[in-house]
Amino acid sequence: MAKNRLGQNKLCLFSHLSLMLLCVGDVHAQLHFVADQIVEPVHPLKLTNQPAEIALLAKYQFEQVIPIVLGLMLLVLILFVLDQQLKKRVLRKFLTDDQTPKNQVDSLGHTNNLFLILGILILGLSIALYHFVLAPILLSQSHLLVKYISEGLITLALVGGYLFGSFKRGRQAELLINESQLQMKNRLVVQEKLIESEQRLQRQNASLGQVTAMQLRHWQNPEEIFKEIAKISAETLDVERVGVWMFSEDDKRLEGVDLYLKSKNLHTNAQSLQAHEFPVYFSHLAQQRIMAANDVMHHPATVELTKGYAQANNIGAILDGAIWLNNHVIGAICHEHVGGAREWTLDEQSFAASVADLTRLTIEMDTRRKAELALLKQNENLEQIVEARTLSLQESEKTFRYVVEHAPISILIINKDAKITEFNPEAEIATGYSREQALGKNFIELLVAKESRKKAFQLSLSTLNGEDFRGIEFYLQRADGIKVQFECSASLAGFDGSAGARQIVAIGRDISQQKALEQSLIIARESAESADRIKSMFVASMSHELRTPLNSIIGFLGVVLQGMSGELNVKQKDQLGRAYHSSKHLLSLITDVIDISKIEAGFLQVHVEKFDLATLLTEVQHAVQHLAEEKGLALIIECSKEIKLETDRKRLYQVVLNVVSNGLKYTEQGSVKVKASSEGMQLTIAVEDTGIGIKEADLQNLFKPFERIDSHLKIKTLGTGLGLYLTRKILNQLLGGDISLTSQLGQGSIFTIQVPVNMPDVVIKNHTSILEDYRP
Amino acid sequence: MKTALIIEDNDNNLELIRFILEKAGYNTRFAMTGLEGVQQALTIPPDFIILDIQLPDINGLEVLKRIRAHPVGAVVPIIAMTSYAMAGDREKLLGEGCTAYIEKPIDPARVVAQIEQALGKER
Repeated sequence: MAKNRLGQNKLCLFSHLSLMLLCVGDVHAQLHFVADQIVEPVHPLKLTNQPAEIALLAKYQFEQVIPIVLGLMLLVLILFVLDQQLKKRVLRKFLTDDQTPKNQVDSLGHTNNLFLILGILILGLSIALYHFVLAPILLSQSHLLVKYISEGLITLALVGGYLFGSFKRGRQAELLINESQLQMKNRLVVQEKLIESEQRLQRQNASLGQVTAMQLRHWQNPEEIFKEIAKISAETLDVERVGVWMFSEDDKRLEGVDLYLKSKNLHTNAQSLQAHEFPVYFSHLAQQRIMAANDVMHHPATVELTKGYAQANNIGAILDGAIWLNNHVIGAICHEHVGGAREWTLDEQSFAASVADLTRLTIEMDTRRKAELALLKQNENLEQIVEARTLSLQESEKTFRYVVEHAPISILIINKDAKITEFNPEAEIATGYSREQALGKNFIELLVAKESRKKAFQLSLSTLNGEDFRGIEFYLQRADGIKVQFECSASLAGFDGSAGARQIVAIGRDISQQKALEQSLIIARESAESADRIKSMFVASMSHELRTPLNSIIGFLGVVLQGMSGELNVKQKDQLGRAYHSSKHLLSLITDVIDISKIEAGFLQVHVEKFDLATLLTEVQHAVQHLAEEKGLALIIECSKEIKLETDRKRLYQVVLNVVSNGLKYTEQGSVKVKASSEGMQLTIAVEDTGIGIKEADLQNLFKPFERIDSHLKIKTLGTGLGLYLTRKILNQLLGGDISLTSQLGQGSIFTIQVPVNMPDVVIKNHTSILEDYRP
Repeated sequence: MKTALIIEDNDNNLELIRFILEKAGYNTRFAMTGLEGVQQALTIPPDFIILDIQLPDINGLEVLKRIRAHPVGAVVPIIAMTSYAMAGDREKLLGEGCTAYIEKPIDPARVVAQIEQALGKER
């Protein structure tokens, strides 16, 4: 600086000297003029136009101007040289630095040039003003003193102006130089810092590499790795205390895994921190990757720690790197700077984050290792179990083999690709293929006949999906080409969860013979049934043929008995009467047989009509009234309400008539009571007599054909033995009803007819034939 | 004296009904096939017709239809007489314009009364 200032002074001195020279030249000229004036005192402007005078004046003027011009030229030269020197100096100064503010130097030069030009201009103008304007005026007034004073003042102003200009210029240059020097100094500081941080980074990178290598070395021992991490971090970041902390499972506690004290080179077990005591600290830790507290006292996250933990350990700054695993913070590496505050640089923060990440890797590795260990152990256990199982399996395999080989039924095992994997001896016999021929073949292609293939395929699919089937019939094609009928059952076996292990166990047997037998039985039954129907039809038409002559027999007997062909004697009348009644009996027998045959042959069709029960009962009463009167029995009809029916009137009439006349036949004294009632859709007609009654043993035989109860009335009473049989047949097969009986021997019987009020749409026809029902 | 046309294929039964009717004071004519019956009924209309249902050529129901289809036969009382009791025979016959229906075997003591009741109803 001193040197620079000296240079500046030199510069000033030079300019002063040149000015002084200028002034000396001027003063000399003035003095010369004055001397001349004294010799020949003539004022230039007062001079007449005498050539000698003008020439003299011009000579003065010339003498006066020459030094001025010379001085000016000298000044310009000096200034130019000085300026160049200054410029060089500044340039040299800057050129030592790699970065030169060249534009500033240039602007400095420009400023100098400007000043120079301005100075010359002002000087020139001043001289011109003085010599051509002011001097003549002053001279004309002959105020010589004033002229000198003014000249002196002008000279003074000029000198002052120069002095000021040079000072200003020097000052500016000095400022510029100072500034550039300052900049250079700052740059040096920055450079130093850069080098420093680069070294730090190198150190940190080396440490990270160290940690990684150590991790690989100690992968089986995470505790060791944690210790190493703490130690390396402490050394790398030059931190007194480094702790490895892990959250407890419930995230309520931060437990110290390791705490390294650098100055003592000592690993200790850190204490644990309760979450509820430091909620802010915990929440910061759980949310951030890095928590850098430069000053524990003032950082929001660590203020909580100040009084207890931080103060006790004299901790001034904390740098925490959170350990993240699966989007969750599981712990932290805490760098605790002992002493005052400390500014954590970005690279330090980044290092802390990297260390935390490496720690996470350690934990992950450890978790995986433990899982692998557990798996290994499990595998060992499994092996033992498998060994034990294998023994028992071998046993059961033997049993299975025995069963398969000796079972009197075909056993096949089919895998999921429909390939045969097991084929027992019975299957060999049934299909004609040997085990060797069958194994590995597609069972459908090999065994199943064309017409059953689709069915077999679909069933095998559904079996593979876990659906069992039983007793399904297939046609199989034997090796010799004969088609046989097989009955198969199948279910899924060996299903252990993997699709590949699914197998179908199918068992089957040849049912061809059985089927043939069944078929012949069906044919036999059908032919028997049709024969039965033909017989029934035959009986029906035969009966008609029987009735026709019988009608004329009865008719003529009636005519003769009526006396229409002349008077008969008593004997003739008696004998003809017997013939007449026998004929009538024969006719009713034939009529019943016709009805039964028709029902059995399915010829008898129902004829549904709407009618009132009361009128039907009245008709019955009219039909049997003479019977009751002949025997002196009371016939009572009870029908309390109007019952509307929609059924076969003729057949219901037949049924009621049969039962009522039956009651009258087997009652000698007392009454026959007919009670009708309906409940819902059911009509009940109870016919109660006071007759001979029926033994319990005979009850079930009563409705069988040609079954007449032994009694003293058997001979006396005419009956076909078909009446109740027909009655029940009509009720069961035509009207959808039934008849039941309760009786007490000697007391009487109650026949109960039950019929639906409306004829059901379909009456289930029970095709039993009289031949089947008749068991003598 | 009223004339009855008896259409009946069985000569015994024909004789029986003819005997009873003549005894009761009726004139009788007869036909032993359905077609003959129809022809007689329409050429010389009787006072009434006794019709058996079971006939060798066309059955009684058909005879009834043919007679009733003709204007001459439309008003003649026809009394069906049969043992052939199919379900709904009675209704079918009455539906086709049969005047009355008497089931065989006939009761000689009651048959004339039954016929006269039917004829009275007709009048």
